[in-house]
Amino acid sequence: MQFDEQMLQQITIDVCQSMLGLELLPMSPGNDMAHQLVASVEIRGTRHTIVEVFADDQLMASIAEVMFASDRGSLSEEEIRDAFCEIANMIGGNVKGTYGEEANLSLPVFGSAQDWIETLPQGSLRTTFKCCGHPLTIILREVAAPSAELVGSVTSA
Amino acid sequence: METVDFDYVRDLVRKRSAIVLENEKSYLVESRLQPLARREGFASINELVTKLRVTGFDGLHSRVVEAMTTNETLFFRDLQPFEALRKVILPELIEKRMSARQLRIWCAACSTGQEPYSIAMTIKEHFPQLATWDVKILATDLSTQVLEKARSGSFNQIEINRGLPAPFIVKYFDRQGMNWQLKEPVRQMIEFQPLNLIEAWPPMSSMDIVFIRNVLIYFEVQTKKEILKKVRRLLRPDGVLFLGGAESTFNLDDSFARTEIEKTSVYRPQS
Amino acid sequence: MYALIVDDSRAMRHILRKIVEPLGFQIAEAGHGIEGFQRLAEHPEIELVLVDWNMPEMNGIDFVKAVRANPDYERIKLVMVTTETEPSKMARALMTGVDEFLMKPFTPEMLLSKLQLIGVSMPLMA
Ligand SMILES: C[S@@+](CC[C@H](N)C(=O)[O-])C[C@H]1O[C@@H](n2cnc3c(N)ncnc32)[C@H](O)[C@@H]1O
Repeated sequence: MQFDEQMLQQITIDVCQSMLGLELLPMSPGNDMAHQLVASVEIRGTRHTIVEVFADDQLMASIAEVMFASDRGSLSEEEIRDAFCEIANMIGGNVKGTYGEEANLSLPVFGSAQDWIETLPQGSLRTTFKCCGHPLTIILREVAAPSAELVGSVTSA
Repeated sequence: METVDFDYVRDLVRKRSAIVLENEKSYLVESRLQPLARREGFASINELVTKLRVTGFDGLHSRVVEAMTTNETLFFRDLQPFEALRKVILPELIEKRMSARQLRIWCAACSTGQEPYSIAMTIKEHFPQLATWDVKILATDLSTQVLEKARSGSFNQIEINRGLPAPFIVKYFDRQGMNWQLKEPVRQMIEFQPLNLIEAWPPMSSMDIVFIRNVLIYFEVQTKKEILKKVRRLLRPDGVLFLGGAESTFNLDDSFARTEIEKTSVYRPQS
Repeated sequence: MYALIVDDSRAMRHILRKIVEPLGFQIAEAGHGIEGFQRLAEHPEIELVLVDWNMPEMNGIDFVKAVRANPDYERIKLVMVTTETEPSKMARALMTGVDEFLMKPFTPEMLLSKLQLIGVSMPLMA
């Protein structure tokens, strides 16, 4: 089954909207990703992909506040990261689930998007929503598809 | 939404489905009609209703009525009725029908199919001996839209995640991308048909088990009475009726006797 | 009544706690399987465990295997709550001994429906 942008959107909606009650509105992707933070998980099987979730620190805090059901400003840095990583974990796991064969999911990795590689190998997908007034971007980075030739190296996740 | 338009829709829905829309529900009507109006190419609800007024009852009217139905359902809803079915009702009926080797089950108002499929999986899983019997599960609903979805046997993860035992997911579903597809042997057990409970019913065989759950709540007392009376006639003398958790035959039809099985109420014809 | 929640995400443990606590459970938490075992030893009265699959140190499936290998823990109900959603993984979890399996993402109602399936009573609901 071909994994497409619509499926990536649906998974994001299931995680953020159906589960957490965060409203998502589709928006065109911005390009100041470098100032954002990223949580990523790696999917390794016949197909090798990385799911990257981008947000700025305000959106990250808002998501964490919803997950911890706590007041604005009351969470630690670590709690905020933890919540954001769990979002990446859920999206990544569900992407993996659609591949139709078993693959392994890495634990989430968190970092700044500063030296994030902007060029996306062929077959990668990207979708952006407006969430709590801030952009939430999800990228499915193709690392190696079984048929396609291997595409350049990628930041280790 | 204008009051006259709301009144028109309320009367239409009442006449065609018996569903009673209270005045306070006008926001609900509006939120459901808005997308329909757009889909059908009308600039506003008002334009849609104007069109309805000047044409005889047709597909558009049906789609408006269908848009007003609540199709909320889940696999093994409330669990206990299915426990009663598995532990008591089916074993009893199988014993009684040993020579005829025939069972007829009707699931009225089946929505997107979770209820009849729950019955079918219960039978497949726990009563393999019925494989050689003549077992039919008839599943009906007013809405052709939900029936189409029910027939497809395809469910999304949110639907699969609600109420469905994990062993059944593994055994009876195939994953296809984002969706979960019920396997053929379970799908084949059910016949889906449109049926409006307030219109004349097509000829049906006598039933051993009838599920008519979470639909009578939308109707007025008189309508409930009429439907229960027809169900009573269709039910075999030793048959069983299941209603929704908030429904009963009390004060509506005293030809049913209520018994408590597995913490749920089931209704049997009084002899 | 005691329940144990084993998940490497604190946010996820919090979400699960908020659903299970109102059923009348006291909650113990662990960030991975090894910690999970420590909690089981500290609270022998634990009767329900919600456990994630992918975790550091000891993952959920190894945890389940180890719990099921210990006769002292026979009556514990195990529910896997995970983002692993392949049917083959679900089948493996069931074979290893979980009583139910809930896919992430989920809503409170979905978890409650799963708990109902395995006979976890809901004293404060009714
Ligand atoms: C809330 S669902 C109940 C589904 C299922 N029985 C259950 O309990 O989960 C109600 C269903 O009743 C159907 N319905 C409403 N009015 C009806 C009528 N007059 N005749 C037949 N079905 C009707 C709706 O289309 C809807 O699918």
